[in-house]
Amino acid sequence: MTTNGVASWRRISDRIDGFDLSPSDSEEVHVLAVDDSFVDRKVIERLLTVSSCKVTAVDSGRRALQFLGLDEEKNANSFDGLKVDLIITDYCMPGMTGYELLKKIKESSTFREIPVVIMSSENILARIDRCLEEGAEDFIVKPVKLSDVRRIKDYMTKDIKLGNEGSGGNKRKIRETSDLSSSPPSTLSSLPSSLPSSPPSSPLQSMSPSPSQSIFSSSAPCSPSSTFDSPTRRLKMTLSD
Amino acid sequence: MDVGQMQRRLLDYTKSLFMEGVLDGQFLQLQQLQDESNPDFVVEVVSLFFEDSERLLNDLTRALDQPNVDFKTVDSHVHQWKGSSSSIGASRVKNGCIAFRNFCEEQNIEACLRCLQQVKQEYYLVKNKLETLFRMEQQIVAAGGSIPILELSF
Repeated sequence: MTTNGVASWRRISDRIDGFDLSPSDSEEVHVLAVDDSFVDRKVIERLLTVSSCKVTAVDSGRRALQFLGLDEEKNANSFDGLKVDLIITDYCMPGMTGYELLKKIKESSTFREIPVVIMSSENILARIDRCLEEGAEDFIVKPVKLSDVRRIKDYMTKDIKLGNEGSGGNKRKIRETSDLSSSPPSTLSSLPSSLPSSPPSSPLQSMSPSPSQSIFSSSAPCSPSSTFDSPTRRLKMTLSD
Repeated sequence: MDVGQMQRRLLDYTKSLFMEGVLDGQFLQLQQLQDESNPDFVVEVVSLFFEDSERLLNDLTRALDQPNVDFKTVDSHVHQWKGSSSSIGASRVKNGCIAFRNFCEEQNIEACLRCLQQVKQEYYLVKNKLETLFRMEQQIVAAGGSIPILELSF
């Protein structure tokens, strides 16, 4: 049932699968999502599910470590079927920050190969660099969008296919490459649905923070900062083209 | 009113919320994550946001009412509220929180109290608007129609 400008529903996964660049994705990737916010957990869980990922969502770094079996107080759980292919975590969390969780994972011989992606509502260059230096695969500025999840899933699959080579090296280069190769705009415009017409792989997206607006925060990881979210992304979403 | 009219009315209403800056593109993202297998996703997420917001509003009111205001605590609450409002596309609430955090940093109690009132108003506004929107959606579904998704090309 469609009228002018009205899109009828279709299964979201039908649309998403069309963007999937990997030819044979027979095994679903399992993502461990860590976020203390109810709202964000629900959103990231759904974003990952429609992108054909299995999701386990936990509300703290501590629980994430417990799930992985890295927590000293609980014994390792050795479910082979629950192998984690990617960890995506919020930066600012009470107790253990996402940064601290990242460090613990990279310090573990068992789990250091798992790619870790950090999410943060704050676009702070120093924070991003710190995370990348500690071995984070990518840094997503919240709010997280489908295009962000698609992007990280992309190089997760590439990592697996390449046998994890090159993933530890020049991270910015890898990001830029996947940026160009994902979701060309022509695919979007052919859909009757209403994805925003601006291409998600625009370089103005969350990946490269504009240095002119970042103000370095103090040493405390989640201290108040006066940075605003990137205004350019907001413009792309809400103004007419 | 037939289903077509209801759908157009809903689209116009949604569009107005974007024009007024009450909602931003993130709300559209959420709508796109909804489908037949998950038909109540947006309502569920927004309901979580409402619950979260009521709690934060209470916490903030209490924190700012203390004889010695702990601005770190206040800021932490505002930070959370900024996050959740941003995640659902409640743009004015989010912007209110950004301004609020600046005054926390300055430890300006008067300005913080003003901001609290501001954010509270914006929150009630978006709550009202979204509840209206969901009611309109329910009416369409009850009449046998499907919920249209806004195309952002105006």
